[in-house]
Amino acid sequence: MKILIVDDDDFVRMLTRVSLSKVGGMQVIEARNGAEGLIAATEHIPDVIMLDVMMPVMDGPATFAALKANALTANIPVVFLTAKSTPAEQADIKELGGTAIFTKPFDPLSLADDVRKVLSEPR
Amino acid sequence: MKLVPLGHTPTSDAPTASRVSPQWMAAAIDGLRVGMVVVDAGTGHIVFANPFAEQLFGFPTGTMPGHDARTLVTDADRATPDFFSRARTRALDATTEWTARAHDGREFPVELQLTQCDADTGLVYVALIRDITERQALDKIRNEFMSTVGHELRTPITSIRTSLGLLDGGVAGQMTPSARELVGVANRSVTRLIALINDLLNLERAGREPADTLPYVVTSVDELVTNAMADVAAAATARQVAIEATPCQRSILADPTRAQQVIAQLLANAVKFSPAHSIVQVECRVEDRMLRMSILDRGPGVPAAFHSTIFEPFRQVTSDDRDRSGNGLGLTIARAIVRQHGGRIGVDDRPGGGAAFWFTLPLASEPRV
Repeated sequence: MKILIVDDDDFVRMLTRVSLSKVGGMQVIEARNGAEGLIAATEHIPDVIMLDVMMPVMDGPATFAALKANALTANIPVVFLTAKSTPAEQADIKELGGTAIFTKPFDPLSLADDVRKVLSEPR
Repeated sequence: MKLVPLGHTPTSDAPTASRVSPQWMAAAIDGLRVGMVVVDAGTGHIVFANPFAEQLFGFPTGTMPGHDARTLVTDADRATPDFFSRARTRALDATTEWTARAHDGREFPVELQLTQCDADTGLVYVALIRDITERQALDKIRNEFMSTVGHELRTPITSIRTSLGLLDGGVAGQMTPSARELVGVANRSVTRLIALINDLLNLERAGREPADTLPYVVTSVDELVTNAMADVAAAATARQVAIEATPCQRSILADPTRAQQVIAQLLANAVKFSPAHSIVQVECRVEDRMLRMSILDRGPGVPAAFHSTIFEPFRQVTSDDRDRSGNGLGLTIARAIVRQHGGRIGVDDRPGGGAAFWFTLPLASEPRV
């Protein structure tokens, strides 16, 4: 499975990559912000995109909207990865319409399984 | 016009009343930096408005009296059947927030204090109105700030927690038993740090949100208890503690997420301090149109000296058992939520040993079966 991680934090990106690749056996592509993420998504057409919400240059919601507006990437499932955890913040993210929301901090040993699980659930 | 609050009949020989000059009163009301609008309770028409009220609502000087008071509210409120009766129920003798409508149709948020007076011309409502546009804008900035703080704190913690999780999972190679023990300590500490940050943000929010902005819903108490029991089921199983709830069959008017949080917090505490193989009991009854729920355990109880302080931040009863210590904010958050709903919270000794934590929340008018 090919997954694109879009997150501005170098450490979070690196650790997510290790979790998904070493533990989960996934092929990981990385992007540092939404703008880079859009380019990577159209170049690699991943099976799923893991998208941070708060990022400089182009944040998660704007990136999500651009992904959905592009025919090449519109059908790629998007999992939001966010440090926003209050019910109101979660509700705002849910309204955007992604496939799932994962809240930081996540369990690195189950992250890949969690991604596979949400992708296998009927939508 | 002479205004006399109901229940306070001045007498001519009252020394204070005799010294109040009508001119002073008029000057004070004219100079108030708060809108004052007096409405005839019978007709619903404005009979008096001070200059600040006319300025606030954009009426030319002296033109506000005579208008129907509903011209000052939104179209939706104006279309509400029985608007005056509903507004009176919600606002009388309280401070409430409304969306007001200016003379030019512009809508803006206001805070309203409404009192009822028996004037010499009949019953009137006296409304004191403040524009809270700026306050709401500041609240929004504060919300965004707290959200950013939460985000900025959680991001590095995510890296620490994830690194520790990967080490613990052997992703970076096998660790010696000593190294594994140290990673375990770090892992547990970071877990507590995350819980503390979440609790601080919750507490900040509970202490700031005005009570009338909560999403009140008629909520089944039994559903809340069932959900809260599910929240603590893993901890209860681990401690071999059973939870038994007597069906309540009532509904409360509350923000269900927060009400469940209160019940789960008290259940978690009860489970944490209960001896193995004991039972935590949940009971409820109606008391003064409020639901009173009690969570009863057979733990060591709360010493009387702590009964009044245990709900203060970081005021735990000292425990040498690290397993039983929390971050000291759970009960403070529970109290903040209960108070937001207009309820009370406390702890008593349970006859036969143990603690009896209780709280009250407003009952919905219809019983739910």
